[in-house]
Amino acid sequence: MKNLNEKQILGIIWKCNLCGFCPKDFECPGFDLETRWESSMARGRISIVHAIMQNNELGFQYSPLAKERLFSCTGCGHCFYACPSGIDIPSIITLGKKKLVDANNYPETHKLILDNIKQYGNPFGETSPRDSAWPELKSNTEANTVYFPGCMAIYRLPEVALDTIALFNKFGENIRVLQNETCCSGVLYRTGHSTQLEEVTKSMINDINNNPPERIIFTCPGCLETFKEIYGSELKEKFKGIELIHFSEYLIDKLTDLKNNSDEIAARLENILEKPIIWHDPCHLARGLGIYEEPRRILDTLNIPYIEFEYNRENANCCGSGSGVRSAYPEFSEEVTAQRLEEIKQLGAKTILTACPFCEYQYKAVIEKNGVALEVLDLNSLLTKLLF
Amino acid sequence: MIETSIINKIKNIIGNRYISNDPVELYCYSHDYTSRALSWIYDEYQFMADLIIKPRNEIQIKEIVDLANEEYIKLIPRGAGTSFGGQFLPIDGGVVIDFSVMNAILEINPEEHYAVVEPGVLYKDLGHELKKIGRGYWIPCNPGSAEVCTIGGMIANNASGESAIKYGTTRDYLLNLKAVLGTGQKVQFGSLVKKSVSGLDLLSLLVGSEGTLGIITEATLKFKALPETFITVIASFDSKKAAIEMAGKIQEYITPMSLEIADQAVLSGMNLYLSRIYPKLSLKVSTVALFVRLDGDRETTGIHAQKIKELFMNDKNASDVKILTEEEHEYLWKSRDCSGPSLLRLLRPFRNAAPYAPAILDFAVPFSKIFSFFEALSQIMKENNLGYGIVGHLGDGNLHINTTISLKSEADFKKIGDLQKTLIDQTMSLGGTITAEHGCGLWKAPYLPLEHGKEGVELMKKIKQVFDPNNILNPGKMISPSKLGYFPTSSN
Ligand SMILES: Cc1cc2nc3c(=O)[nH]c(=O)nc-3n(C[C@H](O)[C@H](O)[C@H](O)COP(=O)(O)OP(=O)(O)OC[C@H]3O[C@@H](n4cnc5c(N)ncnc54)[C@H](O)[C@@H]3O)c2cc1C
Ligand code: SF4
Ligand code: SF4
Repeated sequence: MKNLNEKQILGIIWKCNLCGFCPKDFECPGFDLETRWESSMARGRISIVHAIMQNNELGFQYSPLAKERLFSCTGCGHCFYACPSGIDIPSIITLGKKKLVDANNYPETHKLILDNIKQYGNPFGETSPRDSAWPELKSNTEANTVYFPGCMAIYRLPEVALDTIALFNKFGENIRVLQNETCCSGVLYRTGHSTQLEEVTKSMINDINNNPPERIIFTCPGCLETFKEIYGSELKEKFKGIELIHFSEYLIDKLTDLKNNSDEIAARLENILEKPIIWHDPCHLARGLGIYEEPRRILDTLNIPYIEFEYNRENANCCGSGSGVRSAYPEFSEEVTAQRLEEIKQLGAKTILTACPFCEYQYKAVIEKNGVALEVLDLNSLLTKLLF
Repeated sequence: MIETSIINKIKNIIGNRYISNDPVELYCYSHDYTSRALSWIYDEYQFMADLIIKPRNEIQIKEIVDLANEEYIKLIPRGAGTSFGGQFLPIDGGVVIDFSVMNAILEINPEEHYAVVEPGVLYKDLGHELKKIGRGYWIPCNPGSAEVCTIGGMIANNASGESAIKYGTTRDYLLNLKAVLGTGQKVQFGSLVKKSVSGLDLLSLLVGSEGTLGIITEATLKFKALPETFITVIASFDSKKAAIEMAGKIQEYITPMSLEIADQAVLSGMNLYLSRIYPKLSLKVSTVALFVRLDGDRETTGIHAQKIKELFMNDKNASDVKILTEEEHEYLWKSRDCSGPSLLRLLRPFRNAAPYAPAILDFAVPFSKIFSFFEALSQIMKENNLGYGIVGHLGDGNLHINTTISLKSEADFKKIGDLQKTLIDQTMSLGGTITAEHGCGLWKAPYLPLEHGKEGVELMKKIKQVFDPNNILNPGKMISPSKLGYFPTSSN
């Protein structure tokens, strides 16, 4: 997904030759498998955006169906990968969402997310001090490496951040967190509120600019993708030259250290989780940032056995939660997750391993709700369990 | 516009869940690549269906056809909507019948080697099931859209593709068809036996009729044992002439499963797509390349592959000769299937937010005339200053010409219309056909008399009259051309 202007998007839309290679059944979480309406296919969604951009008089920007079709796209990018013509469908749909937002035709819950980010700096509207678990990292202004946990880890899955910090410590990495970390606000872009992006992130980005680190390491692929692909040139200018990486990329440099512990790890692995483990490629990490092999290399190096989904890497299926879909259409979003859980059941896996707090949270929620016997873990949490 | 009382009647037949007249849904069903591009300038190409319905069984279809006859409602059958000829366009409103949920595989009979399916079954899904039986079976009439198209759409288009040179077209795999004709009459043409010469071949009339004679409700297709192996040999050629001569030599030796040609532009587009799906394979971008696919038992196919390789190696005009690995083979054909759409990857979208030349031109000429066709084509393109890419089933003389220009003005559209007309004339003068597989649909229908003569088309019209006297089925297509089918040209 890229932040492109309207003319660029229209240029891309004109290249869609309606060949139909993008819907791919359940590979598009938004595709309604039962009724198979054209408007629920990626191809149909492009047509809707095209109509909104070219045929104002049709009034689709006010249509409830257009709203449902565009806002139920999780931005997973599966269609983009499948499209032979190279059409960046998620970016097209995101522009469509923006047009609907302009027409005040968008999900209520997204308004709440926007208001929360504006008022509290996070999409959940949490007011509790966000850095209570790691205060010393905030006061450390010297470190050249910034760790960016992201809202999901800060407010919903603090163990992901804590485990990551423990790993940093283990590797003797001097790190800090931003004094003023607010939501990266990628969710605003992905829900059609891109015009608000600069406003709500300005002060955080200025902070980075005032005390620039050499690198920022992310555990949330969505945040990293936002920094790399979605922020506009003005924001990007302020963190130009700073290396932006995902924690799994960071770990690649630590493979030798990790390997030294592999005997210990093998012994512990027996007791700490149920096997087999299955690796879930998060959409933003995998198709979004092209990080497919790093997590697998880490697991292979440590001789941690895992199985793959039938559809994996570029072809991996979405967990169902992205781009504000979980908040706007919870039932639908959970149905998509339930499809993944069914696949996992068929494959016999007992633990889902991933590297995205959003996917982890979504899986956990649906597992709990549906009473499924499965565990979900972040890669970093698995490593801390094995190393400490 | 269809009256509310009639819509209610249709609702009673189909059920609320499977019917829509939401303008957003209607819009999604109302254009193809070509009409969408044209509508940028010409308002009359902004089509809109009145209603979309999704029947689930023959009874519903029969009731809909009866109602349509009573009320003179147009019916436009639609499979996956992947046709290039505008076959599924509701040019005059009406009810689009979308078969996507009438998609059950009803029977697979390994003893008699046939499968019975509903029309909305995807070719790839049937293929998947057939592969699982015993040593595996297949129906080798796969079009480039095999991954996404329906069996109903394939029958109505008589689709075929890269395997046609050896394995023929969809018609060759049909044993039996059930349909509801335009009259409302339920019919069954064919039988369960592999050959029959009893009476006129009515089944063949329905095949390739593009939804203009009857609505297919069930099809019985025969299948074959999957070959043990597939091997692909590729080579680059420094001239089209050399490649065509080589294709002749290959056919003297063997009829391969596929014998394909791709030019420089197409190879570049395929490479861009490959770089995304399988970066390990990159094709040499030469003047043209030949892809030869062989199938059969391991030993013989290996011998044939070596022989083709030798033929290539002994030709001074050939280079980069290669027998592909199994994995390379798989991705080469995947990218070949999508070579038309992937050509669009070459185009620079950011400069011009305007449509691209939509016409994917499908022609065939006799094998011996292919080079003359190429020469004429290159001349026409040069004169009109048009970029293009050619890909085709060389063995069948079937070529697809894709123009690669951005249409910034009405004059550009007219250029494409002129080109279409000139190429049709050229093809006719060489004894070819105006469409070998993509179909007449809307965009080629007006040119039918050039190929079949007035008398031929008159006969077709009489047949249409018998099958669909009220002209309710797929108006403006094939036998009943619409003036909208004429692309704008510099003379109109
Ligand atoms: C990338 C690409 C490559 C292609 N390559 C080839 C190729 O190699 N060879 C080839 O032949 N075509 C090719 N095509 C064109 C097209 O995809 C095929 O002809 C395909 O079989 C059409 O199937 P569909 O399900 O999309 O049907 P649609 O396009 O939806 O419909 C096709 C026709 O069938 C009629 N129809 C559909 N269902 C019924 C029914 N139940 N009863 C009566 N009429 C019905 C429709 O009215 C229409 O006239 C290609 C298309 C693409 C996008
Ligand atoms: S695969 Fe690409 S070109 Fe084909 S319909 Fe989908 S977006 Fe359009
Ligand atoms: S991004 Fe994902 S959800 Fe959205 S249309 Fe594409 S495949 Fe479907």
